This record gives sequence, C-alpha cells and structure tokens, in this order.
Amino acid sequence: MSDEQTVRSRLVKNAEIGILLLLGAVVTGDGIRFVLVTRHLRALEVGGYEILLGLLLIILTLFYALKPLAENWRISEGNRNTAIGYGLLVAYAASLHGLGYIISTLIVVAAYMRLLGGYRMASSLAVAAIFATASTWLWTTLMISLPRGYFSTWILW
Amino acid sequence: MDAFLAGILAACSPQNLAFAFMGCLIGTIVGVLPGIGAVSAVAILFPFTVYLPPEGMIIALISIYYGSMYGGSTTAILMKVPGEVSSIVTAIDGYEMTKQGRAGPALAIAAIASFLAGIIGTILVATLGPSTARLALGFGPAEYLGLSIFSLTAIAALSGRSLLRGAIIAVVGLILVSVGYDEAAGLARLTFGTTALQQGFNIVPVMIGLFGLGEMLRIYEEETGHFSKVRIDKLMPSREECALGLAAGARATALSFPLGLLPGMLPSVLSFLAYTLEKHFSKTPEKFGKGAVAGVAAAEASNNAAAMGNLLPLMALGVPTGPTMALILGALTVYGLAPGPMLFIAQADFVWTVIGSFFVANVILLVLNLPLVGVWVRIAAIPKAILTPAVMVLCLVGAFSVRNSMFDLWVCVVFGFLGWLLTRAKWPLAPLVLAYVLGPMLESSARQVIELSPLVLLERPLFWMFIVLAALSLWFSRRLWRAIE
Amino acid sequence: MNTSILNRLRRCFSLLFISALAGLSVLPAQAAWPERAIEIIVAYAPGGGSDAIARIAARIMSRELGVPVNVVNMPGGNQLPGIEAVMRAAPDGYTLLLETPATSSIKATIPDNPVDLEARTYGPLMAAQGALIMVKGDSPWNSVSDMVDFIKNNPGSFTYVRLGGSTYSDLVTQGLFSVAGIDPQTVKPVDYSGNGPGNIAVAGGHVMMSGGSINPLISSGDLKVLAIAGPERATALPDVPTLAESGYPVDFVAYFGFSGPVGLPEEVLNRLDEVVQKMSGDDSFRKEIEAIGFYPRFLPAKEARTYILDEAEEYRALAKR
Repeated sequence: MSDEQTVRSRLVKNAEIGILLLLGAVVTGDGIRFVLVTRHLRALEVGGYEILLGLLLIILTLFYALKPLAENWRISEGNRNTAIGYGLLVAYAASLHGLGYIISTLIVVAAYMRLLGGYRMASSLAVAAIFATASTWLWTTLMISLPRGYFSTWILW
Repeated sequence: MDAFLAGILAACSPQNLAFAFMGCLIGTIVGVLPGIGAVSAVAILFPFTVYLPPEGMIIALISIYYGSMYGGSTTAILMKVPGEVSSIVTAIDGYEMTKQGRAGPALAIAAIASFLAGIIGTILVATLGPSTARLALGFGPAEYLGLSIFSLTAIAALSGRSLLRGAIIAVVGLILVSVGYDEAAGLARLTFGTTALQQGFNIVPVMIGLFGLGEMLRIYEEETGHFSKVRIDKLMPSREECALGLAAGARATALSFPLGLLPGMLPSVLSFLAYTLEKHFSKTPEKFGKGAVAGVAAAEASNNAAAMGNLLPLMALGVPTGPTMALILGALTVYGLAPGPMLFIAQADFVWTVIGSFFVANVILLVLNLPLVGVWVRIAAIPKAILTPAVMVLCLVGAFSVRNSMFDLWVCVVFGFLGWLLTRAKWPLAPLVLAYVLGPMLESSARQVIELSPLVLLERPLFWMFIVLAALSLWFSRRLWRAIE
Repeated sequence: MNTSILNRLRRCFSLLFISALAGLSVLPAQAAWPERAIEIIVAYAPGGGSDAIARIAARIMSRELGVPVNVVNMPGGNQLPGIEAVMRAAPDGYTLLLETPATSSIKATIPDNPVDLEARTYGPLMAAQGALIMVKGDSPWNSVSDMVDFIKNNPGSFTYVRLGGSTYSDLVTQGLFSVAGIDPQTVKPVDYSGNGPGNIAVAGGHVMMSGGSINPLISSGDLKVLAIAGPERATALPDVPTLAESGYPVDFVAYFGFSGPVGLPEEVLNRLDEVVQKMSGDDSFRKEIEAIGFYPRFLPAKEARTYILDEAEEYRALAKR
C-alpha cells in the first residue's frame, strides 16, 4: 500500500469503528431503557434482545479494531459524477412530493442526460418526455399510485 | 403417475396454453419493475383472473407467479436491481457476467436452471404426494431457532472476505429489522419517540436502495458509457457453461426442495443458502462473485425448487407457507375447494391439473424467455446516461408503491448512499439482507423457546444438528478463504 | 372452441385496456370511489380465520366495486403495526383495516392503551364468530373439563398459544381460565403472530392449546375441537358443544368489519355500507364463511361505531374487576 492509501484506510477504519460502537451503545441503551424504565410485563424480553444485539455488536467491533489494517478504500476517479448523481437523486425524491411524478421525472431524466451524458438539451428533454409519459401510463395501468403533487388539478401525476 | 400425466394433458388444452402464455408474458413484464416481486405481481393481477374458468385461473396465476419471478431475475442480472429479495443472490454473479458482456448466457442459464428446478420440483410434488407435508408439523420453536442460527452463521461466514465483517454486518441487519414495534408485545424499539420509525424499515425500500441505487451510484466511478460491454459476444451459453449450470442447479434443487416444505422457509433464505453452499463445495470458489455460471444457476434453481416445496404444505395441510401461497389458496377457495388432506382424495382431478399446470407453466416460461434474451441484452447496451436515471425512477417508484409512503422513498434514498459506501469500503451486503429476512424468525422462535421452557432444547436433536452445522460452517469458512488466498 | 378462446383472450385484453383508459381519463375531482386498487390490512399472519374471511370478502367486494381489492398481512406486534399503518394512511378509502375485536374494543383492556379508539372511522360490520378451543388431535382430553382438570393437577406445565395478549382468542382463553378458577400464573403462554402458525404448533404437539376458527387441520384429525365460545354452536361443527354447555360460560363473540383513518369521506362509507349489506345477504357468502365457522351479521357504519365503542367500555369495566 502507498502512504496515501494507508492514511486513508486508517481513517476509514477508525470512522467505521466509531459508527459501529456508537450504534452498539445506542441499541444497548435503548434495551436498558426498556428493562429499567418501561413498566410492561414483557419489557424484559423486548429489551433483553436489544441488549444482546448491542453487546454482540460492540464485542465484534472491538475484535475488528484489533485486526491488522487491510486496504479497504479504493481510490478512484469519477467521484464528481457520483456526487452529481446522488445530488440529483435527492433532489428528485424531494421534488416528488410537491411537483408530482410526471414533472419531477421529466426534469430529473433530462438533467441526468444533460449533466452526466453530455447530450444536447433538446434531445435530453425529448427522451425524458417520452419516458415520463410512457412510465406514467404503465403505472396507472397497473393501478399503482404515484405522488401527485400540488398541480394535480391540472396534471394528474 | 398416470394421474400426473392426465393432469399435464388437461393443462395442455389450447385454451389453457393461451392462458399460461399470457400469464408468463404479463408476469414477466410486471416482474421487471423493481419492488414488484412475485407476491405483488400476483396480487395486482389476481382480480383479472377471477373471470376465467377454474383451471384457466389457476394456470394463469401460476404462470404470472413464474413470469414475475423470472422478470425480477432479469433486472437483477442486467442492472443489479433486484425485483425481490431472492433475486439479490442471482445478481451477485449474474450482474458480473453482464459487465463482462455475458448477459445473454447469464439470462439463458437463469431460465434453464429455474426450468430444471421447476420440473424436478413438480415431479417430486407429484410422486411424494401429501404425506410428506406432515413432516412440517414436527418443526417447533426449537427447530426454527436452530435453523435461523444456522442460516445466519453460514451466510455471515461464507459471503464476504472476512468472517468478522460478515458477522458485524449481520448483527447490524438484525438491529435494523428490530426497529419499530416488536413481534409479540407491541412495544416500540429504537424509535426515539418518532412516529415514522414505529413501522420500522420495510425490506423492499432497504433492498432496492442498497443494491439498485447503490449500483447506480457506483457505475459513475467507471469510465465506460454502458452497463455491459457494447460488443456482445454470444447470446447462448456454451456446452461447458450449460453443464456447470445444470449440475449446480440440480444440487441447489436437492437442498431447497426439502427445506421448502417447512412453513416460514421463504425461497429468498434458501437461495442465499444454496449459493453459499455451492460456492463452498466448488472446486473454484474464487470464481464466485466474479461471474460464475454456477452461482446464477444455484440461486435461480433454489428459488424455484423452494417455491415448489412450499406448495405441498399448502395443498396437504391447507396451510399457506407465505404470502404467495395464501393468494393461491384464495384462488382455490373461489371454486369452493378446501385445501387440506381431503383435497387429494375428493378433488383429485383438479389437484393433478394444478400440478400439471406448474409443469406447463415452466415449459412455457422457457419457450417464451429464451428468444427474449436478445431483447433484454439490448437494454443493457443503452447508454448509461439514459438508463441510470430511468432505473433510478423505477427504483423510487417501487419503494414508494409498497406502502404509498414518502418515508419509504427517503429510506430508499438513504440506503442507496449507504449501499454505495459499504460496497466501496468492501463490506458484504448479503448478510445484512438475510438478517433482515431471518431476524423476526430468530427473535420470535427464541422467545417461544424461553416461554415454553429453555429445557425444551435438550429434547430436540434437530436443534443440535443445526448448531453443529453452524459450527462446521465457521470452520469451513477459514479453510475456504485460505484456499482462495 | 377457437372462437371461445378468442373471446376469452379478447376479454382479458379488453379488461386490461379498459382499466388503463379508466386510469388515464378520470379526473380526480369528479372521480367516484373507488377508482384504483383497495388494500385491506389484516393484522395477522396468513392462515387464520381473520385472514380467511378478509380474502373471501375481498374477492366478492372486488367483483362488486370493479377494482382489485388486495389483502395485505401485517402480523405481529400485538396488531399495532397493522392498525397504525391504516390510521396513518390517507383517508381516501384505499387503505382499510379488517376490523376485529383485537384491533379495537379489546385494546381498551390494556392498561396504557396505545390506540385511540375514538380517532377512527368505523365502517360496516359483516360477520361474527365464536372462537374454538382446540387441542392436538390425539390428545387424551375429550372435553374442556378434562383439560381444566389437567391444568389444576399439573400447575406450570400447561402451554397455550397467545397472540400478543389482547386479541379475541386471548380474551376467550383468559375468560375460560377465570371462569374455571385457574390461576393465570400456573399456565404458560407462547406467543405467535396469528392462529394460522399457532394451530400448526398445536397440531405438531409443540404447544397444548390454541383458539381460532375452523381450519383444514381439524378435518384431517390433527386438531381436536373441545368447545366453541359464544351463544350458539357452529353450523359446520354441530357436535361441538359451546363453552356454556360444557359448564364454562364464556359468551364473547368476535365481529368482523372494516374501518379506516379519521375523516373517511361519507361517500366511501355509503358505498361500503351498500356493498357489505348486499354481500352479507348473499347465499354463497354465507355458505363460504359458515365453512370456516363464521356467520353473516351486517351492521351499517353508524351503528357499528356505537356497537364497538360500547363493547370497548364493557371490556374495560371487565378488565378493571
């Protein structure tokens, strides 16, 4: 491993151990809350299972921490594209509630093609429009409900 | 055996063949959509079949079921988007094959292996008859506890590069599935007072996120503009690949059919198990996960064989072994047929027609899908800048449609990021999903054992057999990884 | 022959087609309920009586309403996940709950009841049923008093199926124990997520007794029915005495109907009333549910609400005693 690779792998492993220990502690804590605080006949079994899982996770994580460092993070190009991709995905999920299915889908597919595929705006929009309407038709045929959005008075989905 | 042949003949009337064909076709199309597994597909299309005559309805339903299972595997192979939990296993090697430009052979092997398992399963159902199904009654809380411990250990131990990482990720899965109301008492765990978390994380958005969206994000790390190599070498598998696949499929069938007889053993659990064991006893374990034909065949065959196994308890005891079987049970009662031990005596003709329909549906599926392989392969060759957003949209709609909930949609988005992160950091994902499926069974059987009295375990040899098997799989995993490295 | 296939195929296609057109052309503002698939949430595992009646009703209602009616099982968690899923859904009539005592009136008996019984739109009731008391087919007990004698002579060794503690079956078993003078501390409950899996466990000899409705394991001899709760014997099991006839008067009867989240439109309730009334008067419906030990009993939405809330009050008073 190169020096840079070692540093990065160490960083990633420390982060992993931290997150796992935190998760274990939270789960154990929630279990203890049941056993000590909740007044319910079966709080002991409900919380006991959680304590069991939490402690198991902590113990396994400690073993993991003792293991020698292995290369665990690939360095690769293209992270910028992944970030754009994920950003668009989040934007799409956020817009579905307000804009409804058909408009959001049209925008996100066109944006993907334009930003990540380098297609021209016109062809991006054309492909996106075809996909959005055809998929809407398919979903409604199967009677699957879609998010409708604020404009559902004029545009159904 | 004569009755079985008569059943096949009855199912082969031109009218029934037409229903089978329609069912397979519609089922495949619906099953291709992510999040719509066989269960939802049958549920969506069930009302349309009510208008058909009895045999026609059963045949159509069975064909829809098969079609959608195959449809789910198709997207798993082409885009690593699982249609349902069991197709995750198909995706492990199937998608690798697509990346190498071998999508054609992967799809063909998947179809052939599930055909083989379906046919063997049908013949086993026909010859074993209802008496075998009574074995399921012998499985009590202790046995289910042993079985879930064994399944979890085997998969945690054998699915990743390291036993420890597999175990950690499996425990994380058990924790995630425990979020929300507990199985028996109805106390809310790990919800931190929020109402959204009380329902817990549904498996469909979690699974679509981890695998489907995770892969859509990963694909941008690569320079290529396509999912698969653009030049497709060949559509059909070679003779050698066929032999490998058929052998693996036969072994997976032998494992999954008997275990499928147990209520609660869902096909998804068994595909994981069959894949793991296949890798384990293979002469070339290093090929698994990098495009092994045997991996695809084992997963598909196991899935189908388990589904056939599930059918026996339904018919013989009237006990549905899962949601799909509950639907088929509903279909049977439409015509006033009460499944149960008397069904095989009182309605023998009809039962044999149903079993014959399974046979026919398998054949039709193969006949329909082999020519379609070429069409599917072309989908993987669409430029990724067009295909990725389309698949992402399908993934999110699939996640949304399960409970019509925006919460599920966000769960899917978050788990998509998590899936990408975990894959980059080389964590295995399979133990997480399996823990998700098995967690409730593990917890409720453990609680039942404690409620009965833990001493019950001393009287149950099968429980100890599973524990020994679990220990063996731990021991084997050390050897396996040493052999690969 | 050939023309008949063509006709059928044409009908298949036209069905798909018509539904597609319907989905596209109807404006939501003027749409009459229902315009798409309806989901009925059943708070138990498949295979029990509630699941069975939900599937029968779903099929008939789907024919009447002209849209798919799908049954979705959300078992376990003392029915809370199933109830919550419906109560938090949009009040548009497309997510309904299979209403049983376990999802409403009996929840009033839990000390800090997590479900607000007032905050719900109750739809019509369609059927009622008395729970069966079942033991393994080759069990030495032939009557409830045999079983009660065993429990009294062997404290701590009797096990029974419990579905979370506040379902109708649980109410009947608790009622039986209290009428028979059995100390609840001397019997061991084993939790299952529905009578479907619970009955299998009893048939396999893993647990000694369960409640539930008529199922195929009875006709195969794997389960033996000792008694039935409620005032009447079941038509399908004329030889099985009621609990009262066996000397242990437990008269609770379970109701089955539909409910939805707060604010379900009047229009939906009226249509539901209409469909359920027609269904419960239907002969084939009666025959089908009698085979699993139920009988039709229609109560329109408005009366159902009073009935259920009154019963909840009654159970609450009972639990306090």
